[in-house]
Amino acid sequence: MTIFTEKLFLKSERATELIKITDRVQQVVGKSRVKNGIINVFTLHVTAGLTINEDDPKLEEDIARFLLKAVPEDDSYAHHHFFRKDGRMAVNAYSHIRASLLGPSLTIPLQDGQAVLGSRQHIYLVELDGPQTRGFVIQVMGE
Amino acid sequence: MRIDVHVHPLLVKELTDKRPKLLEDARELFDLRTVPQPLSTMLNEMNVCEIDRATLLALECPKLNDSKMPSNDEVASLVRQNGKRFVGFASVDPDSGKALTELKRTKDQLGLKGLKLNPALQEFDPRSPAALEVYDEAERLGMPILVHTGITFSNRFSMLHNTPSIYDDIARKHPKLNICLAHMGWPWLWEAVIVAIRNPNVYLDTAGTYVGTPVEHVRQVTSTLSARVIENVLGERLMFGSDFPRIEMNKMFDAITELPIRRDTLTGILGENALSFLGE
Repeated sequence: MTIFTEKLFLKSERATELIKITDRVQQVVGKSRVKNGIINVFTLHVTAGLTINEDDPKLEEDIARFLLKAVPEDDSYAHHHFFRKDGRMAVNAYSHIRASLLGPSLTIPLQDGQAVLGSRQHIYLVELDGPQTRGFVIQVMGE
Repeated sequence: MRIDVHVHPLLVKELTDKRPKLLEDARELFDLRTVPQPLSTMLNEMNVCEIDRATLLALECPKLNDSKMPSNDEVASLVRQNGKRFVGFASVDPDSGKALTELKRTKDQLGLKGLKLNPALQEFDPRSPAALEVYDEAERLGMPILVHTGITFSNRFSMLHNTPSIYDDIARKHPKLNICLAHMGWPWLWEAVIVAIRNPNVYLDTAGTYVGTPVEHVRQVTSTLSARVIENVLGERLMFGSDFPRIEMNKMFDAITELPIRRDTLTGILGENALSFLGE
């Protein structure tokens, strides 16, 4: 079995946005030369998540808006205190919680050198505390 | 025109990659341990809230193992790369013995526009004869001063020289020197306001958040001072500052725009007052 791992980066440009990474995942799959197995995509952050959904910009807006509404910024969060680990106030509990709703990883089947995705399915990294530079790992396992 | 007058470019990846001591000093001395981000992150944050220009502050601390967080030359290099977006402020230690020549160099050779001072981290007395000479020279050169006032989180440093009222006499004796009391002197808000009331050359900035999120902090400031005081007393003297990267520009910006104040006052806070402070 081959295990191929690559770390990638992207730059978000808004506080909250869905960034399509389907093509980048497929490029790594191509580099791996693995034909059949599974693909794991993993974000290296606690205020960004991953999801699969349809690549309609309006739907991207809807998902972002839902997350903003589901976990409001203006609430009472215990996390919002002077955070010695960072040396600054922690002010983004809502971003952490939104990220927890989405989760940090995705697993996608790999068949004949292609990610097995439905015709409407695209892979997104979801920025929840941007803009920032974000890292994510793609691991391809199989033969 | 929107201006953020209080930006620390010390966790800029392009700088920390080139000079790893900057990262060490940011963590050990500046007490900030977030991950460096490329300069483009700062620009993207500016773009998100349509901030046209940011004032980048150097901080040179010869007494702290010659720490530069960052150096005057590093700030100048960032300004050279993005002249339309950035204004550079120099930093000198009044006790260094070369503060006056360095200040002149930063203006004449590096093109920096103002002076950043932090008596706590730079460990100097802002009322010392050496400091008074620096104010004289800054006034002569037409370089406004942005000075740290209020809390310093790290208890490694004394807060003895952090009170806003120190600058009342300095402002009185240097009427052509614009002085910004950073962080509104938090928690000594009224003390900072009083100095601003008495001296038309004294400005305050909104930088930093100390009691929760930016929104919660700004609400606390507003409840202490009242919206009326912000409008009628500080309307032409309060400037938007974020304290990036201790707080993200866009989060501070969102909080300031929620202030329950008149639109013309908000416009002044977000940029016009900074133009006046910078002498433009």
